[in-house]
Amino acid sequence: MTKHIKAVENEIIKCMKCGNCQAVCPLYKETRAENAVARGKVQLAAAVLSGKLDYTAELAHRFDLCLTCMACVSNCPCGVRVDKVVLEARAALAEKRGLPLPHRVAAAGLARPGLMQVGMKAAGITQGLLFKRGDRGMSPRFPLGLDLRRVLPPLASKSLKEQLPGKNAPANPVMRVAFFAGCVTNYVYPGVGLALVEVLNRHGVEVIFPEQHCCGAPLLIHGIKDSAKEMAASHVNMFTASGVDAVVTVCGTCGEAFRHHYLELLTGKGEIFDKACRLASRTYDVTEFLTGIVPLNYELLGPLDTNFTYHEPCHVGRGLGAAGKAEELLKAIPRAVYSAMREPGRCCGGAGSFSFEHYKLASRVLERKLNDISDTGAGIVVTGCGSCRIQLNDGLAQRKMPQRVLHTVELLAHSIRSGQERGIQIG
Amino acid sequence: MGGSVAECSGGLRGLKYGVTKHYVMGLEVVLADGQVARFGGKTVKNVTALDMVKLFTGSEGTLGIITEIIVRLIPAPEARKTMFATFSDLSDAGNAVTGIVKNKVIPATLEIMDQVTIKTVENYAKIGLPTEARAILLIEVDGIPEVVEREADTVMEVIKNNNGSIRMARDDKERDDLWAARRAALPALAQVKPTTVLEDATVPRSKITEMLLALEEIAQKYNLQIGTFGHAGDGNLHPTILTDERDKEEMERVHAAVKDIFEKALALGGTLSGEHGIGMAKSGFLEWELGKSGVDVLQKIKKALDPEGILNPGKMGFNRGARK
Repeated sequence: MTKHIKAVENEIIKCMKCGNCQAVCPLYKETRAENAVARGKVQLAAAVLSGKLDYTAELAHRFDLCLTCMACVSNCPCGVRVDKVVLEARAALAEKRGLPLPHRVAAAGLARPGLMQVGMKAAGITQGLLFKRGDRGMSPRFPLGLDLRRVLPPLASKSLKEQLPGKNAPANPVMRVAFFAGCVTNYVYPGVGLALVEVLNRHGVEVIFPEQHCCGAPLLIHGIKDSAKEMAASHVNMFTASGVDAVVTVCGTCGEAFRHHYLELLTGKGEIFDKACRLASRTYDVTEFLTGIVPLNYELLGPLDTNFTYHEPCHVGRGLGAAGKAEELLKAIPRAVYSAMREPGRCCGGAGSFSFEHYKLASRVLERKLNDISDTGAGIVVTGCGSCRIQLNDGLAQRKMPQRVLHTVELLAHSIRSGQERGIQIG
Repeated sequence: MGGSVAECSGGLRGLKYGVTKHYVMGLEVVLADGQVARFGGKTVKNVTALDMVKLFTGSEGTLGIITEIIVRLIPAPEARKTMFATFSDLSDAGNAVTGIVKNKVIPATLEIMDQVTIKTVENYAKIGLPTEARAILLIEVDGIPEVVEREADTVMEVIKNNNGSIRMARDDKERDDLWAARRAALPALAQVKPTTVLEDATVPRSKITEMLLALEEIAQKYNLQIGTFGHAGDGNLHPTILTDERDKEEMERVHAAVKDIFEKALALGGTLSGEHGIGMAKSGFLEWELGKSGVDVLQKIKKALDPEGILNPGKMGFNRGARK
């Protein structure tokens, strides 16, 4: 039963055990445990491969403890794709041991778009029964598998799907793109989707909002490969059918699903793989799109009297290789002052559901990010990922820090609106 | 820091600035029996009793657990100049290395890359390296601006006198470009084949050319790909054998080549390891360098400090077999 780990054997044997990953692993920094760092995990995978270790609960726990932030990957002299080793190990463990109940429930929801839509709608209405509202979000009234201190954003009263038409065309469009929103944007921060459409429309880009569901990355990350495969195929078909010039995403992980994961999941599947390849080569994070495909029109930007900093999501910077692009766009906003934080690309500890499952550990990782934010003196934290935003918002609320968190495209939309109205103040 | 001290790590600047042990002034150590001991301190001079600070520095966790470190700090250099020299003959490169020091310049870094490495890096990073060159030297001098000027002039003269062609970085951007080649050396080599066996046999500086030629011969003898780069200025080379650990037959040739590398380094008056340490992999070769009497001394020290062998068993030849 080592077919999964066998698939990454070439990655495992590339490791020369130098330990450079120790210097950058956010979890190693907190735990100081060799089994938390990439080198240790690669050796655990090697031990499974050689039959020295069995698929125990302890082993599953070790492989759970990874943020998939890819800091180790980008710092590895041998180029070991530790992220792939971890995901294959999780897939092998899920197959061998089965998934814990919360994962099964969540996976079932994400894999069935209809069910998810109904469920999220119901949750939007009933969330007041389970959560108490505060100034900065909600905290659970009962444990619910969540830490009681946790401050979460409320689900949007109206999801993006309920607000955004399928077709959003400016006069004389120069290009047609399909927008993939992702779950967090759809259900928690629909404003990001609206801002994206506003910014792209102002650049003469028509935005199609095709039928869509979860990108599948959360399932893949938890080792649920079969459902992820189905979701990949479904999106490849739906987005190919929309016949657009490009796909634009506002979340690095979703972007990676379209650009990398779908190819891996659909390898060897004939025609659908070819479609996936075409789609992958035309998928852009919004920051890549506005720096490369349809460059940001600086004349549209109006002044914003604000001081902001930028947190680079792992899967935007390292995952998609789009480091620096958001800052390039944001720095063009007149009068807005950019204060760079230390290590903008270090993981915030959010990592999708990691912060829900390992709240205490994730919060320790977050502490460092909050200190870095605080040191900038900025009033606004800009980022490019919904999961980071949830995590940062929780931390800012816990520490009673005044900063607001916005998506890159939201700050750009503010600036463009200011350009129309000649000066607005935010923050 | 604890890891650096326990291993006594080195790096690119060893020639001018030394290695970890040259900066460690004092230590607090927890011993195998649970007692805590302190050695050294904050004074520049300290000859009280045996130099236990040096003993624990580089002990690879086999003698005690380091819990506090006092280090010496030095000011960062005000200025630096980076130069990049290419040679069509290996001995010219080797002579340039010794020539620079003979002319009373101690560069902060004096790095070398052999032709296999140059070709691999160029193939990997496409940064315009001269793939026909037999060796590249990357030289950086640093310190007080006026001195740096003079030292850079001397370095350029020595390179020219040894038939090398030289480029100097005019600004930080060009400096980064020159460094990109050196930084890419290991990643590029590691891409060629799955397994990377990285050694760090070290020879006296005057023997650099001889060692580089010997490494080429060893690669031919065992039909292996060996790329060599490293810290030429302090004689610390990194012959990197590119292989696949699943290929049993080739791995046998790799092990034989490693033995030859150690043998040659020791014959040239060098050492098994300049900065990587002994660990498990090199522990079998200790006697080659230290002789039986030397290994006996190590064993006695270990026995005195950790009679039950509970500290990092299996490393440096101590308590082998304690760990499966």
